[in-house]
Amino acid sequence: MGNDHEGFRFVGQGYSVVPVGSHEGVAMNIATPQQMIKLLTNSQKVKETVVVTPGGTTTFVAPLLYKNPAGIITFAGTPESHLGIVGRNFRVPIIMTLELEGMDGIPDGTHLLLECEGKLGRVFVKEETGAGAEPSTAGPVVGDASVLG
Amino acid sequence: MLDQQAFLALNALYLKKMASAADLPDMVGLPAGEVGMMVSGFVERGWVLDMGGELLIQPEGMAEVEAYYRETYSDIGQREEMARWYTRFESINSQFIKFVSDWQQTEGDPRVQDRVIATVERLVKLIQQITELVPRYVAYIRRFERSVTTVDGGNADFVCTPTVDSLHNIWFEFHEDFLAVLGRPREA
Repeated sequence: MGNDHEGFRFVGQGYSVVPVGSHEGVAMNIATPQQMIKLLTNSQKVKETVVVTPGGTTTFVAPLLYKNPAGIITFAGTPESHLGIVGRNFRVPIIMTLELEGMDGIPDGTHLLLECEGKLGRVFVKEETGAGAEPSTAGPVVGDASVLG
Repeated sequence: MLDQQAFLALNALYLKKMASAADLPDMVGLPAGEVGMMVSGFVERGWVLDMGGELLIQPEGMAEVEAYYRETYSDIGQREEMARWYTRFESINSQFIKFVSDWQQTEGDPRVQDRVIATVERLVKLIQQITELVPRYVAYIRRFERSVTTVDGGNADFVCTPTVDSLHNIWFEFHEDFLAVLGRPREA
């Protein structure tokens, strides 16, 4: 598997909902509508967050799309879904039915890069650069400038 | 338990999770002053968070709405005819989602748009079969008819733009509402 993203390690792929290029963010697992609502109250945090739905249901995170999250990752579902329809409208990076390689899940706080090209979405984890390394600032890397506009 | 009007206002937020205070009266179909007073009460009780005119339902508000659904609809939701109705709904729901997704990816192909509208019209006929059991569902029929007219009039935003009362938004809210009446969690 090729990797054009220096400093990042490929960890899995799934369906990309909309081709918006590559974007970074910090993972947060959201498993319930209550957790989703708590995140919604912090607009700035939503923008920096790649929302990860650890279970099989995905629709309940759709309201977060109105607040422009850094991305959404699901382990179930397809782009032909409610989440896909809303995500396509807002042009948010969404990778659905992610199949991880060498990881069982994505821990909260993991710095991610989502590459959404064509119908394929790939997920990368930022490599550790040693003790005392400064964490990178999450944000768009490549792609449609309107995504975070 | 909530009274019916308070339920309508809080349920609108339950289904959307978040809405503008200015839009809520139209969504609920009640006068703005009345809805404003209800919303103030919801905020005081901690059921709704007012973020500068943007209303966000809170877990305590969700619990109130869910209690209303349980107490009002548990008998109706367990009827076999409702389960049969839902099976028919699921079939056209899959078609609707596919057609809307196709419409987005064909940049609004008019032939696909016709399929979207035809599917909405099928759902409207289906909803008419259950308005005797759930009379407030006539509001969904009115909203669908209004948005179909808007799309037919040339405003394609009303197919699936999330920030207006689009066909997809209404469909999604109706689906959530019906699942709550049935007392079933979403499967996807």
